[in-house]
Amino acid sequence: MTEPRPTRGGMQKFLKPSNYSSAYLKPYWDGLLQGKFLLPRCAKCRELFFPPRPMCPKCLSGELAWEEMEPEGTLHSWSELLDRRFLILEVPMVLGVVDLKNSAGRLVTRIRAPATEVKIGMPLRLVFPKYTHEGKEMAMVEAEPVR
Amino acid sequence: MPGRVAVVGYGVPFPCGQYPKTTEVEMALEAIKAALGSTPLSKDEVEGLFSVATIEPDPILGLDMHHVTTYLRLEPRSMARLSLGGLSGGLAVKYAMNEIQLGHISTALVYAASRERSITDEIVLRAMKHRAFPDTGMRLFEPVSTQPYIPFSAIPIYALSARRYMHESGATEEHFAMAAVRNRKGAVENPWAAFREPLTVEEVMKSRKIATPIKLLDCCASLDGAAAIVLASEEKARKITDTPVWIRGWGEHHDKSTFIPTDTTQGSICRFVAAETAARRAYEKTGLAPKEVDVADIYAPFSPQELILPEDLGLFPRGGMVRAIEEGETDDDGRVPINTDGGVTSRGHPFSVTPIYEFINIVRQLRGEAARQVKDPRIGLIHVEGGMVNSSMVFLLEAGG
Ligand SMILES: [Zn+2]
Repeated sequence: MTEPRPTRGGMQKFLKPSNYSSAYLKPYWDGLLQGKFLLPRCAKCRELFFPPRPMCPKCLSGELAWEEMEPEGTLHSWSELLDRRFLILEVPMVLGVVDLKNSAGRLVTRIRAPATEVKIGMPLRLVFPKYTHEGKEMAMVEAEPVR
Repeated sequence: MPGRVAVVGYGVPFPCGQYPKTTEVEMALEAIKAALGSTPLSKDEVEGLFSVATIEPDPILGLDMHHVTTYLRLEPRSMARLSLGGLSGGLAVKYAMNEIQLGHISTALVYAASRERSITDEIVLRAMKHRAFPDTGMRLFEPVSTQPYIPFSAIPIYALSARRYMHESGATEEHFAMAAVRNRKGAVENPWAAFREPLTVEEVMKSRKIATPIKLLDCCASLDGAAAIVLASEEKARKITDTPVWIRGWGEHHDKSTFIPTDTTQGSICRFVAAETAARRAYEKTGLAPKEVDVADIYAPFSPQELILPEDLGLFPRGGMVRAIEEGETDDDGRVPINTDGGVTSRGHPFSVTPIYEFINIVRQLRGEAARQVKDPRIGLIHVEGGMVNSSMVFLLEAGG
């Protein structure tokens, strides 16, 4: 297991307040900080969905409740990014599509393993590394192989 | 029953490449002049003028079209600029067709001019100087907070699709390289293509790894270019040319995702619903069958998608492109020749101009005047896409006479 590499301050630069501080994302973001993977469930039609949206994508209700999910999934596909011009990232880095365990959706994120150790279909666990952005503590969601 | 619409002329003023010292408006003027020059029409006979979003002089208002009409002293009775990513050029052609079929106009000129490469270079140079990168590229994708680590590029997205296709179909990186090589054979003979040096599978395999399994020579190159086509009603087309190419019909579909389908674990990233559905609608609307397609131009920005898309379009069975590419079935003497003038990977890819280049390739093929001519084609297929094939249009064209 490789330790997460620092991101040269690049990733933080892109986490613009205008992007992450949208009101509808706050419960999700706060959950990550507490090490919890929270997903919205529509109070009206009971649809569970990911990524979070300002309203239920099925029935358009704005009445959402948040539920804690098991932070697990399987690897749907992956790519090892090697080009330095992927400006915001440390390379090499494995990018993966993670099918979430509850079938609510897919997460596209960094897989914390070298390319030689990843395989389509492998079980993954979500992890929530913390960092500081503009003086504020925040958390990210990544995935690592289940051993 | 709406009347038929034909492509009656086209123009490419210069090869796809890098033009840092001109403007998109100047490039547009040259493309329009070249297209008109291929017909007996005077500029005053252009009743409709249609284009796509440009980067300069203003990407928001679309008033660059007024520059074009001002500089050329044109007074169209219908004008519009359509914008939806890579699909834009296809939408502009559709809009022109609709206007003709509604009887509002009898002739239309559709043009695209882009300096996306030169402008991107300027932005990146400026950003490197000031050590700050614009975040607009990031907003293309899902919110960074919920989909972290999607980088400033479409390449990794298509690489994820490619890896999954390998998993499901048994394709190897060599198969992708073969598609890149097939495209290059067309570009070698295309005077407007950006990459005209012969290419081998070994060279593709040895090229720099960008985002596995995609290597440098599997990629399209963002470049500058301009092109235009002239459309006309049936009555008008008969007066303009002896070799009209009829647009028999089109199909269109838009899936419910932005690049990677994220809001379900059911959606495929290596089988594109939008392309599949658009193709099915095009076949239904025209009464044509996939096996009647004699030549195709496919909008595949990376060589792995050269294998996926012909399957989506019904030209080959699911997974069948692996063997088809091995056996040369998409070469110019194969069962369904694809991308005979270079395709997106070798022609060069100013994304808003690409659909116009595609129309020109198929029109030339159906008129029997292509540099790398397929034997007596009757039906041509054009596929256009936007996002990661989240939007698709499929046009079916027929040789006239
Ligand atoms: Zn609902």
